[in-house]
Amino acid sequence: MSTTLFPSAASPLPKMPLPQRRSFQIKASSAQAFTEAKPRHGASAASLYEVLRVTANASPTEIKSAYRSLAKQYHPDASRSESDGRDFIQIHNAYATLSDPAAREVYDTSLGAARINFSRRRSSVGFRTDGFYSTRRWETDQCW
Amino acid sequence: MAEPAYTVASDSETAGEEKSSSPFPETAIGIDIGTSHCSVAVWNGSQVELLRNIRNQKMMRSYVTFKDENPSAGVSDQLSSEHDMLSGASIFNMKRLIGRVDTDPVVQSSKSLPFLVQTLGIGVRPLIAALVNNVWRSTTPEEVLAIFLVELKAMAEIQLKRPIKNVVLTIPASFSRFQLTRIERACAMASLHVLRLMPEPTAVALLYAQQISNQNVNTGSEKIALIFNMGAGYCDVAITATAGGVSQIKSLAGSAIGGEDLLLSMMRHLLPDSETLLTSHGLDDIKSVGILRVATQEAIHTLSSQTSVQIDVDLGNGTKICKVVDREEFEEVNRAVFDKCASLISQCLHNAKVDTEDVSDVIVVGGCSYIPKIKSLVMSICKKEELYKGMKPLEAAVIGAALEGAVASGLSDPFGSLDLLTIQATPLALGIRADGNNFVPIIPRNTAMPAQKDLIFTTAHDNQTEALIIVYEGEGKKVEENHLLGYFKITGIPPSPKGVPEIRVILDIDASSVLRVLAGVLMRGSHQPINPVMGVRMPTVDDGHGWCAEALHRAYGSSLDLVTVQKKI
Repeated sequence: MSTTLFPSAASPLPKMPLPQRRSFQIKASSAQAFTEAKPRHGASAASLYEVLRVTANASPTEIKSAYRSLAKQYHPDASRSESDGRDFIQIHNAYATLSDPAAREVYDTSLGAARINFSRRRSSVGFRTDGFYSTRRWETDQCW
Repeated sequence: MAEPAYTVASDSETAGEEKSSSPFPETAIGIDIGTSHCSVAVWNGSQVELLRNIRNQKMMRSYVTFKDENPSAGVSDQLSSEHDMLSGASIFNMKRLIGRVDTDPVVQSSKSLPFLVQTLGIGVRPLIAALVNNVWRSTTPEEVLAIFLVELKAMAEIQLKRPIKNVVLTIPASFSRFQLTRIERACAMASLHVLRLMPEPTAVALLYAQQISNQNVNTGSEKIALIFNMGAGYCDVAITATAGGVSQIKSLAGSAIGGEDLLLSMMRHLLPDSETLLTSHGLDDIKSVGILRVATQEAIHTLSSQTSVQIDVDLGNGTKICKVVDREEFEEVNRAVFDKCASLISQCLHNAKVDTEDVSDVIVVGGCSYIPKIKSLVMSICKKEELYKGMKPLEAAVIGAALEGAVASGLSDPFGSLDLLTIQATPLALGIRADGNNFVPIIPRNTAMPAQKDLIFTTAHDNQTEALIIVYEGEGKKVEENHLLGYFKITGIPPSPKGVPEIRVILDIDASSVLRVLAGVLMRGSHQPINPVMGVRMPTVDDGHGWCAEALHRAYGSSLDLVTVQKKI
């Protein structure tokens, strides 16, 4: 199962009710990390743009400020946050790819390919883009 | 102490998650334990306030004096003169010694301190002892720090009229996770719970974020700042990108160099061939070295405001030093230290992929920020005409820690003064031993925290059913250049040719900076593990950890080795 918070629908900036997590759930989610981490099969995988709640043609500045405001909401240290680290990691990973022009281009291409596959095959599993740009790029992890 | 004297906070699974448990959270206090001075600050509801001791001091000397029965720490103790601290009965520089083994160069250089630092050079903790009634009484840096923290806590409790439990401590960026556990241990001994450990420049970054968001209402523009923090024991550099109260640490670099090194090399310069005197620890020698130390320290302070200084001192052992030292000479003697500072700044800029023209503000704080050479070298590397004003060099870190204490305690401020966030970055890479003796990073340096990353490994031998996961932290290519954090074995790998089994290793750092290593064997073509996975909280090593890696190698050779898998794209 996946605990992705982000809706797969590309609705613009949905106001999402956040689940109230308590500390035992936080521990549980860290234990689930092994099975739920990177490959997110299934229906709930959102595109990186959806994760950051920006449109696919968002400017670098828009991406940056979207990342910042989401960080303030989902980073565990932020005063408003009720979240453990998972959501922030997802937000940061999305940002790491989309803020790097080269990585964003590759990601956009893969997104386009996935859309074509989707419409061609009409897969019942649904729209699936893994969430993350698949090649490990150390340098994209730290950009802002 | 009414509470159990020894609860190990580092073993608490819920560390850092307390903010959701109570509707009226206790505001964590910020503590900056410096190598030479220490300070405490707290959010008082509208701003950060520094606490003062009974002698009205905000900066307290970091030392503990051992006497017949009760040790007393620099929080309340009255030093009649600096010499009192140098009689051998006082332990100081705890922050330089904590969590280091006796082969460490920092420990080696501490042998010239007036108290006893005995090293055997075999990779165990050094013996540290204070002179009490002509007996070298052994102690540990953790114990000394704990005694100091107990006094600090008592002082804060009296002033704030409430029990103090949660603290945010600043730490040097170069501390290994093993050293962090020693700090946590000392806090636990003092009945304090560590809410956050913040690298010093990141605490300064949080204060900067607050000042910037106060200044411009228009939060759209991002400001890059370089923070250089050098105290008596450590030099740290950070690059931070700040906008809208959010400060993201782009890179961190640090090293155990500081005012103490400037002092030691200056002492050696003033008194050449003094090695025997410096390390002998005879009663008269301790006294002479103490006199030299105080005179040298005063001279260095004078050189911050004057271009030359007259040193005129009688060491009491027949040696008299009468010498004029000018600023150039001081800078030449300490050229290695200043070069290291410069290389840390360049490294930090490079790692952050930031050009000097992108840097809006250059912040120089810490005790060494008064040294003209330090200011000029930072400005010249950053190509700036002036430094950021608006922070008190000695108070910036503790104020940042107090802000983090308020933010992490879940407080908010109606005027938005606490609408702040520092997104921390890992100061060192984390990874495991693989491909022979290589260190394979899984979470690279300067990764935003919390973080989770994984890599797939495979077996090095045919029909290998077990593998050792040996976890290291550092930047070296070979494992021995890094800090060992711990190790464990995974078993039940199905017998198959080498390179076939898939062993997945996940490194997870949560918001409280707790590191967990998860490892398991995957089923062929699936992401499901065959057996229950291992989840190990790091570090697991204890004292004498310098030996563990060698012992493992002796016992197992390469039979339980792992190799990396080339990722399929």
